[in-house]
Amino acid sequence: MTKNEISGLLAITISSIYIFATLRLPETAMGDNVGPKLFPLLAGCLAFLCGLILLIKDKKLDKSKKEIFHLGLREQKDLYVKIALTICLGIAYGFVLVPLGYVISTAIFMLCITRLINGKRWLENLLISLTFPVITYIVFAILLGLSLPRGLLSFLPF
Amino acid sequence: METIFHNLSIGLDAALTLTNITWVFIGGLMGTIIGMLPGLGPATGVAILIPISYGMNPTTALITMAAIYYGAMFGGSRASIMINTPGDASAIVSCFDGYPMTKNGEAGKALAISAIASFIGGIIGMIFLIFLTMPVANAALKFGPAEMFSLMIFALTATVTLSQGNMLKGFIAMAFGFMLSTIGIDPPTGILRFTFVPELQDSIDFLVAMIGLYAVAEVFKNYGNLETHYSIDSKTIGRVWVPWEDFKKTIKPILRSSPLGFLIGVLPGMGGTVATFVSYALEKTLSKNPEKFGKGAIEGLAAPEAANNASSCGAFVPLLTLGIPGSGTTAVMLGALMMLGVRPGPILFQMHPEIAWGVIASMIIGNIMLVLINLPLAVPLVQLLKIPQRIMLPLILGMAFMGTYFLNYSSFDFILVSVFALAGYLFWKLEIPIPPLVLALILGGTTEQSFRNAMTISGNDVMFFLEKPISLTLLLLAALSVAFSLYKQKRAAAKS
Amino acid sequence: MKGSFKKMLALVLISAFVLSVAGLASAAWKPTRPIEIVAPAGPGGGWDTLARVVKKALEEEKLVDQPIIVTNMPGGGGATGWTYLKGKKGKGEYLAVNSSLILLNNLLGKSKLTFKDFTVLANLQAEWETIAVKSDAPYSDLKSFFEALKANPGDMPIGVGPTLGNDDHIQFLMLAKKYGVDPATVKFVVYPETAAGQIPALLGGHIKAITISLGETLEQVKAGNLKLLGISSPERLNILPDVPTYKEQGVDLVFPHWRGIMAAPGLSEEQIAFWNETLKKMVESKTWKESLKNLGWDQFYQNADEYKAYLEDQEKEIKDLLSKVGLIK
Repeated sequence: MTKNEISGLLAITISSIYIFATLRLPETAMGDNVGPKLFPLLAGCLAFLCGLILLIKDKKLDKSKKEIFHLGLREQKDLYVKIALTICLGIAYGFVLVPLGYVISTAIFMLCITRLINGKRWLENLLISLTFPVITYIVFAILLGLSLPRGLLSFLPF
Repeated sequence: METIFHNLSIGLDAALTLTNITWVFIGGLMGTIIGMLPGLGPATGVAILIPISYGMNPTTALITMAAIYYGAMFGGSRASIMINTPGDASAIVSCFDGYPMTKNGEAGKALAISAIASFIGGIIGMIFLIFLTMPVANAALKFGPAEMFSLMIFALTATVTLSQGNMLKGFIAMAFGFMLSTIGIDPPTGILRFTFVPELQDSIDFLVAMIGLYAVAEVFKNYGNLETHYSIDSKTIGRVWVPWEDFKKTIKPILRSSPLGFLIGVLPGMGGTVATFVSYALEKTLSKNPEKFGKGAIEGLAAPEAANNASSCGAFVPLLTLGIPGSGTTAVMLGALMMLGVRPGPILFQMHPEIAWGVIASMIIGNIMLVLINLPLAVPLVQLLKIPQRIMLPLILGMAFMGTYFLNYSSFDFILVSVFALAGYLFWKLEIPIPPLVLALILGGTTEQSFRNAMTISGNDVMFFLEKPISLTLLLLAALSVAFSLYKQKRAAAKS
Repeated sequence: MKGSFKKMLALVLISAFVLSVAGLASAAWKPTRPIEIVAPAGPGGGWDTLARVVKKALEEEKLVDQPIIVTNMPGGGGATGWTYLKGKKGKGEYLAVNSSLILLNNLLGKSKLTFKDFTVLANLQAEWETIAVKSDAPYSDLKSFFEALKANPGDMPIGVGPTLGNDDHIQFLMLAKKYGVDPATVKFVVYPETAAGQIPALLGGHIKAITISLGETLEQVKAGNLKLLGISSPERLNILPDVPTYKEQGVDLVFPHWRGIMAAPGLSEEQIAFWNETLKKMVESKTWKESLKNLGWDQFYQNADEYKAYLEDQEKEIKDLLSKVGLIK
């Protein structure tokens, strides 16, 4: 498949689900006469139509002209593993931020991330993952008064 | 005329005290640094300062806030140019040509022209603000829901046409943006749309999407070449300046973009983002070598920078004349002013001329000060590019997540950022343009609401959009821009 | 099994700790850790401003020994921040600001939380509602306005924000009802950005009237751009001696948009007593009164008991109202 065909399929799939969800929105007693469904329907149809045209346009192309697209999951396994791990770490970071507090959870997150990106240069990694949360916490939470979760350290007066 | 100069001198008198100038400097510097962090833009910058401003007199407080505002805007484009990570929505367009310039080894030149173009845009915007506030404010009142809707459609189609050769994908990205913008509580009816988890009730913050799609996705793109760093010519580092022949190319774009930016900035809720996109599209259309845009064309960086700064002056028009904030930042400033016992409004100029004109004067001073801060600051900034990617990328990630938290104080947004980052990487691989998605996500709410309001007022008559002259013109412009791009595409295809 | 054992153990430990602390501290309770005020909204709005004004007054008047931190937790029309507070059971250092939205959201089915899930402490301030038209509009009072609306609702779009079903919308529906206008015929144009969208639209003639809280219109009224058809306060206000109340015009309606403060659920008598006394001192302080004056807010103080009774009363009243105007069944 070409990039256009994949994009077309992506648009058709997402917009179909979206249009389906739109049609299932509840009716309302209170509101304006246009209602909450029309605009989402228009947006969904736009994506669907453009996706369809994109798909058909490239389907018509000669086989020889097609540039087959592949992600290269196997050849660049390293790269995709790193991306997947970063995403998982980001999500996990979101879950532990409030219970552990900003400083502790950020230090752990940064330690994992530096290990992922910077490899086994542990001294550098430790230095970054300890100084970053402490300095940002001092600057933003203490000096500038923005609220950051304090979590396990909430017994401290700052 | 004379009264204007008299008033301006009152303003300058009020603004030009040693305390105030010190605060302009501190505010400008703080703003620049805050603006460079992903997600932390002018609005957050000003909000951060509110507690500090409690003890100040109103003029000093306002001046400091204006300086932070400007500083954050300058800072936002620094990050766009250097690491392809816009600090704020209005800095997205600065990535288009600013980052390619950095990759071409012209980071110093790019930083310099962005500061200079911003400065000129700010000064032109200021002149407009001084002389045209009243007529422009009255003209802006003519903008009802129909005009607003048509303007959105025009700005969006102009952005789609930027993704040339790929307009269908541009429209798909735009539709995705609209779809994302409908997630959350529907204001008129109060029903929940597409909220699978309660955290989505307050809709997706476009800045969260931006941090994911740009900042974090950019980190992913760099995972492939961790050991390299930017090719920095040691000669270009020292020279943070623009040669005359390059500057010449940017004069006309700057002079066109500044008034345009100002006028768009006046319209409530529009702000710098639309101004930057429209001015970029305009310059690309007018340019003799549009193919250079996106590959490091200096005028492609200068135009949106000028438009953005001019639009920030425009945003002050509704604040100073109606007491109504025209942008997120001026909304925060309004809140801060009220805490200090000043209520901006139609009679602010009569009641507190020293404050109203002090703001204007302080914006002039702030602009000058920021160029003075930013040109020398560019030298150490460019040196930052020497930090190897393997150290830089974790720091960018840390900043990105911290910036995300400050947006809504919600750790749920971390999950959204991660998902958007994956989408951004995938879109990049598939060559689906990101800007139409982000812009449609930003403007989606207003677009839908003005569409529905226009329909309510007209009693469900679609012709309403064509009966109003301004609205009709904008819709025709939108259609023309699509037709023109199609024509150019056809011609390019015929040639090859 | 394991989880519940841990919980048990935690409970035992906590109660032992609480008992020992309570024993040491005897009857009078005082905050022992930093005080957190939750503003269940982003910076800049009414809730955030109130939280910061409270912090400022308590700190500057030295009414508490512990530092005060304001936490912004926007989401779900207050639900996110209030849910967080609900989880701090029995801890007297956690407060949150609230308003009539805590009643409205629950009654309209948008949220399950009610004031009964918390320890209410005090009502603090109020803003009044109004109906504004352009100063050259041909109506001088509610009666002439609503008669025109009744005659020709299609030509008179009404601006409301940020959403339907809020205080502004409800007061208009109530007035419409009293003047015999069918709410279903009124064209409501919604401005999610509130005053920032409504006032230019009104001045530009795109809509004919707005229903809004008083403070947002004051500057326009002073400048002669807008005129007010009435105020929802019980008596005329000093700042606007010429604007009659709804009551004077024969509509039995007093409608405050109030904001107050509450604490985590399950506070002890001693904790409530501490806050009752502290907040009472606060609302009488100079810092507090000055801030209120600057913001154009009215004092609307009720202590914990009065506030609780008021909330129960209001809940009934609003529920009755909402079903009358057809927003709930």
